[in-house]
Amino acid sequence: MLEAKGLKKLYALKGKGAQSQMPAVNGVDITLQDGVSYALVGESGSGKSTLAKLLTGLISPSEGDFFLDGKSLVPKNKVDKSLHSKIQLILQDGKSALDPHFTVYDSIAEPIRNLLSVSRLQEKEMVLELMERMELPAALLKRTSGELSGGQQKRVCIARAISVSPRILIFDEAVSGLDVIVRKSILQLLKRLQQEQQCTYLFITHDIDVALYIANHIFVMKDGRIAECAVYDGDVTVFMHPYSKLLLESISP
Amino acid sequence: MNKLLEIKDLSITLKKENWEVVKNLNFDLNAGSSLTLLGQSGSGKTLTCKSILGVLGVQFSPSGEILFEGHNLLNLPAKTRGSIYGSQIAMIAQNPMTAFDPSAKIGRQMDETLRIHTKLSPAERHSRCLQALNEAGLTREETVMESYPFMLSGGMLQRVMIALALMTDAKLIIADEPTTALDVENRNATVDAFVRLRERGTAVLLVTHDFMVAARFGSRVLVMKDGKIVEDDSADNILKNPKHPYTRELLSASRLSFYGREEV
Repeated sequence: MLEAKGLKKLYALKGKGAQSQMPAVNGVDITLQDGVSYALVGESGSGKSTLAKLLTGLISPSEGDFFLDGKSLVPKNKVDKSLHSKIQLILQDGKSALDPHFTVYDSIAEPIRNLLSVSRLQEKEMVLELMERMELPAALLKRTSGELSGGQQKRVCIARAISVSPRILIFDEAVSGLDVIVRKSILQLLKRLQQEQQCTYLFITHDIDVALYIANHIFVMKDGRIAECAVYDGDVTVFMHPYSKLLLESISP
Repeated sequence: MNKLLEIKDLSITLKKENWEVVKNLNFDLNAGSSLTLLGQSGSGKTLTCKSILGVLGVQFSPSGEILFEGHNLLNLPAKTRGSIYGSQIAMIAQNPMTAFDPSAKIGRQMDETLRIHTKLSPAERHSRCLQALNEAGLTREETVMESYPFMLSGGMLQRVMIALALMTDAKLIIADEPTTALDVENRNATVDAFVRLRERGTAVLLVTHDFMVAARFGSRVLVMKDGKIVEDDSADNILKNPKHPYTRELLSASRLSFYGREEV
């Protein structure tokens, strides 16, 4: 279980003195139970990406703490490498996330080499198996990221993330900018993966339609805080907060 | 009804591979009416737009005719280009965040357009800008004029672009994926601004991959796949009763949560 308590991240506004600080994340309490699919919905500026960076240890909170199975994850002095394998982050821009000089093989093998101790033969087997699960033909292994379509790049990023069997996968606008048909196939892949891996998903998106498709528990974020947390099972009337209703209205035809 | 734009047997070939990316396209747009080209990447919709705008690129060779008020845009003499593009045909870019000069306030950039193309006084230009911003669906028009581009959201910048297009009095506005870079809420506001454009008599050619954008814009929709038109119907009909299997696939992928969350 991942538990965040009172997370805050403040950014100083330039030239206005220490008094002026902008809270990007302004007091967030979140609990993620193992194996559950969560979505976090918010517009740009709601603080959702900052929250993603906090939860994956990319930035430190100004206040508050978060725990994995009771153990604090806030990076204190040294970097805890084992954290990298437990919580993985998948971002929107697949192309920038991949080293343009690496082949697809090396891109997928990289986290395996860095975080796991396996032989070259095992590494190769793992890479081939991941390609199959991502429904990518093995022929793509020798291509570089620039030679892949957006959807293919995304699948490679997902393969990298799951190669180390993380407990928690955080997706930050991971399917934004993809054609809707490609998007749907990636989301279906992710749903299937989650059932197979039994990992926890936190799917961060501005699009409530995507959130409703992929998750059972939906957090709605506004102005750095969680406005609502609803358990969704096909019935949108579970959302009570006016802001949630506004978001829902924007997707009705 | 006079035909503003006629696409006749338009084919576009990628020369290097002798690959026909757009295959024998035919459609018309009447003055003051609108049309949506709906398709995914690779459908040929952007190349079709580019050929209408005269920016196709030397690696492609078009054939057929694109008639704008009788002028063939594929065969336009250089001196006629200036009088058509920018004044009669205007374009709305996909990414509003990069379309503006980041070092100048919005008001100054808008004013510049009018200063170059009209003989209005500074006061007249100012009120024309405010009026255009208002027509494009923005409130607090004075604040927008005083802002730098980075202070405004993508959705607001998109509406500023629409305001700029409104000020040109163009007969045809072409928008290629104008909402793709935007959040859902900004997306709706932008589409509504295009509807207003249409209502005041400007012909709008909207290109998008997003079914819900086409539905909200509510005009005639041409669904494109692999360089061809696979379905041609009103947005309303396509939403309620899509005929072609590809259209149905697009619809279900655009409204994920409406079709129930099928077990994978």
